Amino acid sequence: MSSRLRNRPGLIKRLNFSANVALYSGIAIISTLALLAIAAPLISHYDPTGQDLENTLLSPNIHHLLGTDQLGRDVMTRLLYGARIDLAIGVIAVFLPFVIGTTLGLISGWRGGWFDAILMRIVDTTIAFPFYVLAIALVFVVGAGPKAIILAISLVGWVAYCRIIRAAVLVAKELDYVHAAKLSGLPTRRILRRHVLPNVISQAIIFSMSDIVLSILAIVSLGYLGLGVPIPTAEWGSMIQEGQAYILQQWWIPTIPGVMVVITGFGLSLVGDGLVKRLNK
Amino acid sequence: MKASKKSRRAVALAAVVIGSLVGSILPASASNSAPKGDLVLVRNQDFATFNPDLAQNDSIFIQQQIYEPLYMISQDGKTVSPWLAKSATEASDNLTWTIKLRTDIKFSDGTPMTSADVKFSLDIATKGDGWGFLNSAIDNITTPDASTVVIKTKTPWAPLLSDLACFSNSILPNNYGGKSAADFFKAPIGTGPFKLDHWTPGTEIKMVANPNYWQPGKPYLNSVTWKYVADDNTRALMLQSGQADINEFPPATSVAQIKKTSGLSVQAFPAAASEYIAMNESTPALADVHVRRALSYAFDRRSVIKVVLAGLGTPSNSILAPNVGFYDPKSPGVQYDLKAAAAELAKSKFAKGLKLEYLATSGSVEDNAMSSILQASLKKIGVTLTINTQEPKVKRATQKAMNYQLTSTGWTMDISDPDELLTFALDPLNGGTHSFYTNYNNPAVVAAVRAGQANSDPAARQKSYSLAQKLVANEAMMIFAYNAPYIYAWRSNITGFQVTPTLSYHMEDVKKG
Amino acid sequence: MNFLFYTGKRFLQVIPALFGISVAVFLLVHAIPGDPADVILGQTSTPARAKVIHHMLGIDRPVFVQYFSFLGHLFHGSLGTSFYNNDSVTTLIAGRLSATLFLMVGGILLALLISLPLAILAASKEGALRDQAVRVVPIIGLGMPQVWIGIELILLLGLKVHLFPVSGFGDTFLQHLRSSFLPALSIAIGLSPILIRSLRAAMLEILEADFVLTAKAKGIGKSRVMISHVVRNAVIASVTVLGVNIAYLVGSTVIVERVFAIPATGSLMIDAISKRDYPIVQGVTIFFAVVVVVVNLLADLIHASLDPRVAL
Repeated sequence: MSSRLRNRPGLIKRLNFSANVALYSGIAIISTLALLAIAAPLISHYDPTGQDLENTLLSPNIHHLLGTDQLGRDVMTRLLYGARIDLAIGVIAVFLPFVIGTTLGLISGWRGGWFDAILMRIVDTTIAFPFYVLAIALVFVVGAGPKAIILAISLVGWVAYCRIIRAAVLVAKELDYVHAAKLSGLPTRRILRRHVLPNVISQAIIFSMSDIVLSILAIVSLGYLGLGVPIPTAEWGSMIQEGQAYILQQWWIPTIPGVMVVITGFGLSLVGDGLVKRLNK
Repeated sequence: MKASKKSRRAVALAAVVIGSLVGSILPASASNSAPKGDLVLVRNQDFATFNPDLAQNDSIFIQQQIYEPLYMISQDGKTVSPWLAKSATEASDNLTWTIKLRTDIKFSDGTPMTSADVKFSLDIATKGDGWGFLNSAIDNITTPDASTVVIKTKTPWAPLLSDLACFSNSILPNNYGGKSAADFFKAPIGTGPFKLDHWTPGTEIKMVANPNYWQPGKPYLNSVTWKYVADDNTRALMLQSGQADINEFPPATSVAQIKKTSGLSVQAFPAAASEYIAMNESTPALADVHVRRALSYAFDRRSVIKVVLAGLGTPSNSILAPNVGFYDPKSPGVQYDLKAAAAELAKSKFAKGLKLEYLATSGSVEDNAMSSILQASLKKIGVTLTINTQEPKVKRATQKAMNYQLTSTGWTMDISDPDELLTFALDPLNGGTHSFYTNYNNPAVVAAVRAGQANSDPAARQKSYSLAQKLVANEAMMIFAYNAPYIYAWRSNITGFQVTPTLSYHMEDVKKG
Repeated sequence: MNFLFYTGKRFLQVIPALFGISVAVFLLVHAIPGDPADVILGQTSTPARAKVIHHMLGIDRPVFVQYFSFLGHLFHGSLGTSFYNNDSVTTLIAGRLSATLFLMVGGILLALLISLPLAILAASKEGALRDQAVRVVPIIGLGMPQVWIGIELILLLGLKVHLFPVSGFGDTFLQHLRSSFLPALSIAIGLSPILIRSLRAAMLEILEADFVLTAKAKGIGKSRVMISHVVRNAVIASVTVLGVNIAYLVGSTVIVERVFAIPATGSLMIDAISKRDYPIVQGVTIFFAVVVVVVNLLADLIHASLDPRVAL
């Protein structure tokens, strides 16, 4: 085990892609979804918010592969454009928590002491605070849209990274070569950056895969509650909300956006699992 | 042979006897619907308070099954007639009103209603922080005898009887019947057709018939239960299955479907309610009357009504809704005409490259439709409209702070008299709202509103109010958008259910089955 | 003695968190734009009359004065009085409590019912087909939005086959049970992927533990080992996992209440935010926070007392 940690090949080399079914298939799924989202205007000529009140609630047909919703909008188009919103915000929303949480966890795990004690109390506070109160308040203050969602997710999302990194740092602190680095008088920043961080960052990266899933779930929930991107922009959560009324006759309208989220989650979980196998060999 | 025949007959007889005995004690097959005489109404608002001073739409019309006022609004919404009062005479000084009370009124605990109860109720209403302003013209109230009340006003006040018909002026027992206000509002007593059975906040409120009710033979129902069900679909399902008898405010888009369903009735009651688009004259362009007229010409009211209300509504031509007293059908509010819009714009100083902002309510399908339809029309005459959204209360705060350019707003009449609305909307000094937060100020209009307030003569009032309506329509004080009805659906075995333009209904007239 | 010390220490650590939450929610609600007076006065609100209502509600005082008044009430066991309803917040929460309990307890029970057998099945033979099969469940399940799970359950078990009511809470206890089954199941399905993963991992760890190997070496039957040692420890592990995820559970109920139109505490809070009814929002937030903190604490203590590896 220690030999694995003694030689520090670069992070990039460690992610060397040899056969790994889970990792590859996950990446394939995610890339396909991203491609579909980006290429939405090329795939469909419909306007995602364009109403056609003569042709509402149509079943899937040759003109509308997934039918139309209650305002005559093409469901497939809205699904593709919705992918843009959910995927993009899902990824962006994870970035700040990753950076902030990792930094704080690094410092907290390394230093301990009063900094750690206070930070852990803040962590406890953040965990117990009801997420929706925060999200709603932010939406009211900042206005509905991606800004409020990202802010809400960031304010609570950093906690998980902080705890993961902190726990990993506590373990890494005890390693021989880290001790050696400390004793040799290297500056703390250098130790953290060159010796500790590469060890622990993989945990954060693995977690970020499932965190993106959690982000997308949060966006979809907020969209369902009417707190996401404002109507009539297409987004999977608001599509589910608007479609709930038609669940009996046109069951696909609220069902398919949910399926898209599941597929996205599936792909990301595969990538996460693959990374776990790869990085914890 | 004989014995077996006898025994067979005996067995048959026994079977019949036992069968009918059993049949009579077995409970009747449980039906889904509430038992006859018990009515269930489902709505998307929760009852909040028994205090008339703090009542809003979620509580007013339920309170009115327990409390009653001296005067009652008519079914067409334009006049009031005596209810707990018998008559009223205005003295020649125009400041003294003598009101004779009915002598056969009892509270639900059996105590007779007297002038002391009336004086008490009106006095606390006047002091109220919520609706007290309606009684601001009242100077004092005296009670020469048990069935007479004399009201003195500070200035001649034509809307008095209409104000007395307002729910806020309902008659409560003198001194809250000896209880504290807080205790009284937990177990209220009134003269109305029903009394409180139980109230579970967040779920339902139930009332049962008042045996001491003054109208003989009424109410016909044993009880009425108002259930709070936020979801439109759930309410529709409850009505269909019989779990509910009346559904309040099914979406306009479902009306056609309900009409086709057997066993259900639906009606769009004319409402004394208006939707407007307010224009803030703090914005230089909107201070120009030609710009405002252009915007009003450019608004396609009929398309909005079609999209939002499934066609169930009427374009507005006046600041007053058609079911309000002194509404003038000849009020010259402009209608959709893009050519005229362009012509008006050309007359203004902002003919080229005008950019405006519309503040919409986020999550509102209606506002979304209104704003996007207006946006599309304005584009055709060279005006760019950007749409921002805010949550309803935030939007309200922004509107009050006058930080907007265009925004949707509206009004539902609380009384039959136009005075309340017109003062709020057109009299900056007395209304206290900067003319509905638009900064509109026309002294001729203010004078007309105040004249209508002072002179009780209906013909004179009509003249004043017609003038006011004409001026504000010509100057496009706001874009008068549309008037939407109040939609109710009920099961066909319910009769006698009618809703006035102010949203009130008389449950004592309703029969089930 | 050590354990008591540990309990005391953890208990003390809880207090700053609760304080922090009370401050955070207080500041947050007061920062939301929009005026409670507008809700109370409705369309006839004017700046002048709103001022009078502000005074009546006490919100014209400086924020820190209001906060100390709020704290004072808290120490006397009162969560405040609703602006709109004039009922005490405690009464309002109590009225919604049974629905909340049906959802949360039902959700947890059903989640355990689903997760424990699957986790045991998977852990019984690591790497076998049944293990692989069970491991796929969290991979698919973690991506399922709570709202979507609820709507599909409505479709399949409520509308296509009329087994359960699709919304509302009912009036009698029996109706409550029937009405909360689908929502509780929805919560359970949302919780299970996390539970299955953690329980399986916990049980695998236990199975590799020395004492189990020793027991096996001694020839004690595998199923007996499973039942007596593994399952017992798995239940302990469940407690910890549930404790850690209680905040997520609380969040789930908010969504499920909306999907199934159930009047529980979550919708009380959301409605109160719309109406700017500060006391209710503050009160329900504190209530939720206490639940989360207490459950976390209990889970921590149970884990610490039963797992010899935890340093007290």
